[in-house]
Amino acid sequence: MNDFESELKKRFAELRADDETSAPSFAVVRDRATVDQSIGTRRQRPWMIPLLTAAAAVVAAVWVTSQARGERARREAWLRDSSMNAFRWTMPTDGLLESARQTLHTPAISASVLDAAAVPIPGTPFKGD
Amino acid sequence: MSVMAQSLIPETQRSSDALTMDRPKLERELERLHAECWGWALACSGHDRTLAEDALHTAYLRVLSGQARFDGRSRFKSWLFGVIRLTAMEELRRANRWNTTGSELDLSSAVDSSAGADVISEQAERNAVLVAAMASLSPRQREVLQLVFYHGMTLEEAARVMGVSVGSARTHYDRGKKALAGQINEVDVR
Repeated sequence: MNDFESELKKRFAELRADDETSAPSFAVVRDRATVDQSIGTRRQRPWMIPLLTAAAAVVAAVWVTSQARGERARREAWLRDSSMNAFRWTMPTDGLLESARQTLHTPAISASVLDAAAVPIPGTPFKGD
Repeated sequence: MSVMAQSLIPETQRSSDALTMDRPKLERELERLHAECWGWALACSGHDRTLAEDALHTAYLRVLSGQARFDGRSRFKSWLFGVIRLTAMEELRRANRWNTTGSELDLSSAVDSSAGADVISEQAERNAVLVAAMASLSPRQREVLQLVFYHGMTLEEAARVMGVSVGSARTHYDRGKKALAGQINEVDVR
C-alpha cells in the first residue's frame, strides 16, 4: 500500500466519522419506513383499480338505465293523462253519433228514408202500433 | 422491490436453502449497519442529505416489507448496499438529478467561496475537498472507491454491490484512484 492509499484511508475515515455524527437515527428511518409500509400495503393492490372501475361503471350504467326508464314512464303517464293527447282526443258530440248509429239503419232500395227512421226499437212503444 | 432483488441475484442462481430472516432479525441487522448504510446512501445520492434519507428510508421499507429478499448468497451487508444503491439511483432519477450530482459540485466552491470558510474546521474542509473530488469522478469510480476506502470492502465485494465483474471493478478502482489523487493534489497545491 502506497502513501496515497494510506492518505486516502485516513481521509475517508475522517469523512466517515463526520457522516456518522450527522446520521439520522435508525429509529427515525425505520419508523418512517414502517408507516409507509402500511400505506404501501394498501397501495399494493393493482387488481383493485380495474375492479373498482368496473364496479363503478356497472353502478353508473344501472343508474342511467333506471333514470331513462323512469323518465320514459313519466312521459308516457303524462301523455296518457293529458287532455292535450291528440291521438286520444274525441269530439264532445261523438256520444250522439254513437247512439244514432244504434237506431238508424240503412234503408232498403226503393224504400223511404223515413222508413229507416221508423224502425221500432225493441222494448219501446211505437206510435204506429 | 422484488424486481430489484432479482436483478441483484438471478432467480436461476438462487440456492434452495435461502437464508430466511424474520422481521426482528432484519431490524437488528439494519440497526447494526445503519451508520454504514447512511454513509453509503450519502455517497450514492451525491451527498444530498434529503435524497440520501429518502433512499435509505425506501431501501429499509423494501427490506422490511419483503419486497427485497436476502437469500444468503452474499454477505448481508453487500446485499443491503446493493439495495440501497439501486434505490438511490431510482430516487436520483426521480429527482432528475442524476447528471447534476457530480457536475454541480465544484472543488473551488467546496473550499474557498463558502461564507463561513474561515470558521470551518480543518477536518471539515478536508472532508469537503474529498467529497468534491469524489464528485468529479465517474459514478463507477466513485462507487468503487467509496466501497473500498470508506466501507473497507474488498474489490470482489465492491464488484458484487455494483453488479459488475471484478476486472471491471479493478479498472474503475485504478483509474478512479489516479483521478482522485490528481484532484486532491490540485486542491492541496492551491
